[in-house]
Amino acid sequence: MTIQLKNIEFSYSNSLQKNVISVDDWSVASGEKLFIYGPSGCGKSTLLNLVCGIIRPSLGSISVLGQSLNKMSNRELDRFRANNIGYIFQQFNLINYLSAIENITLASQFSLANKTINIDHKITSLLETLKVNSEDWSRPVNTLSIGQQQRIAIARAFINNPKLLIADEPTSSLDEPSRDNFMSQLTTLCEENQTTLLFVSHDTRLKHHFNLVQKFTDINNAAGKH
Amino acid sequence: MLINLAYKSLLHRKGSIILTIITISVSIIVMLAVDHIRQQAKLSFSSSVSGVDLIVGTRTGSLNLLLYSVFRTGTPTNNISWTSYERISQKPTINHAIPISLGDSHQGYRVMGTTANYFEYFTYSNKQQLAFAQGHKFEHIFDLVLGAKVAKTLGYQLGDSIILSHGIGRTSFKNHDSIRFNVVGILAATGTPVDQTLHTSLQGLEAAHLTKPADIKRLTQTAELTLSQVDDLKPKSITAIMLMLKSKMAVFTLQREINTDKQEPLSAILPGVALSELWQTMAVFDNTLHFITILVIISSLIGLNAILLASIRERIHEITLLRMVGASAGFIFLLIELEAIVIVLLSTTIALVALSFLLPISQTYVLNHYGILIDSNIISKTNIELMFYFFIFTVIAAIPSALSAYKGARNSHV
Repeated sequence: MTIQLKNIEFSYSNSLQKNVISVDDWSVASGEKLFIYGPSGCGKSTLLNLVCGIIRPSLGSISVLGQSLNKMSNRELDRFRANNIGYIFQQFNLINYLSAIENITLASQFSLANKTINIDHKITSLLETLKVNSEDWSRPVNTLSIGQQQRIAIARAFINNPKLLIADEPTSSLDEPSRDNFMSQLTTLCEENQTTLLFVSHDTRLKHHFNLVQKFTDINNAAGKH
Repeated sequence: MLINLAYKSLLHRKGSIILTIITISVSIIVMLAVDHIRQQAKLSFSSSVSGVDLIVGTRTGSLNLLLYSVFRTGTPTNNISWTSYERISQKPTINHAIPISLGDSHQGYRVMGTTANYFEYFTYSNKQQLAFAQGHKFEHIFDLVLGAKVAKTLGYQLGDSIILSHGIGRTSFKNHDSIRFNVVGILAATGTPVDQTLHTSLQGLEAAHLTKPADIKRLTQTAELTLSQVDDLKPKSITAIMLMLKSKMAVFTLQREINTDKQEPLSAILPGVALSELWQTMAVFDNTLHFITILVIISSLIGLNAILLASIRERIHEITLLRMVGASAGFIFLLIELEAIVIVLLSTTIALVALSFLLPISQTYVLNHYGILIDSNIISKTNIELMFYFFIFTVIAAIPSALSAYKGARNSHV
């Protein structure tokens, strides 16, 4: 199992609502491409933050890639994330004043995964696979199109060979051709690297790219009880 | 990686960062300049006289004697007799004795009668001798040597002739108008009360006080009598004596001897001790400047903090992203601290460069207008300490911002 959640409860300390997340038993097998859909603001991102240890649950246990997140210190969580999990968000995936190469290098430097191999070669081949024009590699990313930026975000997410990739509405700001292009590149890379993909979106049109589809309210008991 | 990221990040926000650096630089300039002036004023004050081991006057308080003999303010309570001067100057432990006589003025500036030895042996600051900007010391009975400020303010030049007034007010009712004094020398600026004094010979001063028309006629008709030709014009009394001893060891013995003199009530003071006593009475001035320095430091640190906090709000996505790719909280903390350190180091450098240009330019102006001699070298022990403390305080002051960056990154819901 790549992800396993048991009896999870979580609420933000400043929230009036009792629980934002309440999950009895939920797991994701390794190598899956899982699509979770649900309306905006229902707590999908909160679930993702729990999975990668950015926030800790009020109750229950989470294990990711066979390791229990409950037992890790904040520092260990930072390390664990850097080494094992890749992310792509709707926006702000890149530090906008750095170039594509600098952004990807930065991500690799926090991880232990790439210490031995030739990182520059790996970055170039990733950017080539993702069809980012080579003249754009060294320009600050805020001068590039959103489509380009999201493709660079995929490269950044894959640089450390993550076993788990988390994508949170990454296609929301893309137009249709870029979106299909993005989805096919993302899923191909996941298959090549045997990376488990956890993808959340409100856009059910994306369903056909995945082998497993779940409704968020089926996972989260709290979500239906608003 | 940390340094490269901090560098790129600062470069990306160069507009606001440059403004920040300018603000902090100005604060550091004010901080260093105020403290420098404070130190220099103190130094300038305490260097009004040096090399003089004892000042002898009539029986009076040490501050009073110092004020009228060195600073030429206030009034002597009484004079001391010429015979006492002759007796004391003969003592074997004494190297030089300089008699001074005060009481007359010219347009509000004090006139001091003395001997030519004054220009040879009186020293100020770091044992510096008096230097002539123009002309030479007095040789004839009615020769006059002006302090730098007197000459500048009143616009006198060599060869001008001047009437002295009796008493020390700016407007005197009694002028010594039968006798005119000639300017033969102008001293270089010293930043001490010497600049505000007119110097003449004791004989000249004595002649100015003659009342019999026949005596005055004798002196004024024979043009250019040298000082040695009028030796008979001995003053009956003088205001004070400055003593330079052969050996410093004898100071206290001699002071006791003079203070317990049987023939005339005299007192001898150590100018260094009296100067520091006097400076202590000016503690308010000293403390005010200190207080200004502290206020400047506090305000600039608050400013820096505000700017850092604002920049963190602006960079919350960047910080969140760094956390997501695995940057530890410590890394984020260091990033913000490093930014504060870079800002303060750049600002300090700019401030030092600016001051090293500004000080030499303002030096002459300050000396001429305020009589304070400012050293153009800003690097003193206290200033290095100040800069060090400023640096440390910056690092401490940036902690809340750095912590908020870390917390912000933890709580942001991506």
